[in-house]
Amino acid sequence: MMSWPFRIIGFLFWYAKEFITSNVTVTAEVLRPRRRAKMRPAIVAVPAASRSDSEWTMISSLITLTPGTLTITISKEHKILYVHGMFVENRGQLVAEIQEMEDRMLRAMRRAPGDLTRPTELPVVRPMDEAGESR
Amino acid sequence: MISEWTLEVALILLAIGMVIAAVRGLLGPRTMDRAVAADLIFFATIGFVALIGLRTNIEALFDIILIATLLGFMAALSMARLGSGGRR
Amino acid sequence: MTLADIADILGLVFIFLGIATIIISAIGLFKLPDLYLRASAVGTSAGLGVASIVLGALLMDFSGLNLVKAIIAIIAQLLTSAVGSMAIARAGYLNNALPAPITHIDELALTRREVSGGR
Repeated sequence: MMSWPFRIIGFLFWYAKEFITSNVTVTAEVLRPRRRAKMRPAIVAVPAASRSDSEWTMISSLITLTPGTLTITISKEHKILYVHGMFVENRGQLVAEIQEMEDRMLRAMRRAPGDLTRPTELPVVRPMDEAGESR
Repeated sequence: MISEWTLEVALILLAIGMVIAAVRGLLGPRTMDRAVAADLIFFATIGFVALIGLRTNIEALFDIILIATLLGFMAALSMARLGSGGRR
Repeated sequence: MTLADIADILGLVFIFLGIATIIISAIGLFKLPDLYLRASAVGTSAGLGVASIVLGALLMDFSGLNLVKAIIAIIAQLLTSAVGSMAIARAGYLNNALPAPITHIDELALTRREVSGGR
């Protein structure tokens, strides 16, 4: 495992590559005629390993920043990111994609990444409202 | 020089993009569809400011761009608040 | 051909790339069926579109101070546009904006407050 500053630089390069490829895919999808569309949108609940508020903010912003994936809402108490993906063949593919990004981000953000294991699927729950904001 | 007429072409193209987004904003159908269209119009406006700034050689061009990019999300946030009826 | 000419041409290339991205997202607003997909399409111009126009403007009007301002502007744009898109997507969810029927998995469906309604 590389030392911490190198992990940050490595993550930035990896993210820049992801950013550009996803921009190209989404742009190509818009330009493609409707009958040959490859679009397979889905909304998936992705279990997350983030703990602090700054990690939650970073991971949801990074997901939204790559076009094609979009964080719709999060549930911190259940550790779930609700992610809308534009090109999703099956549930596992999007979960793997998002969890890979989170793994890389946490290894770049934390000096000692610690244990990053989490399930790929959690039971269905209702995301709670933020404190004091019930309808 | 090259930049004399190319910047004008760029401004016209950007205006076309803004008009397309504005039509979506007018058609709706829901508040949030309009908000997304308005968001896109704002990004095109940043481009507009940059191009007009280059055309007229103003001194403070990058200060304007910096402030526009720093505060641009305020518009999106307030439209989101408007569309969700105050719920966050 | 001087260095300034090359920078000018490169700057114009970036500016036109950014404008193309913005026009394509505007087309996407019509081609894509629901709010979340449209927000994804607008995401391309929020990130790549604005960043490449700012980069192009920097190349056409280069100075050390402008370089610093442009870098801060691009970083600010990337961070704040993500927050803006998320706020809009979440408002759509709170407002029960349903995804288009083409959406083949919807794990938020069970958690929506009411099945129909909203504005």
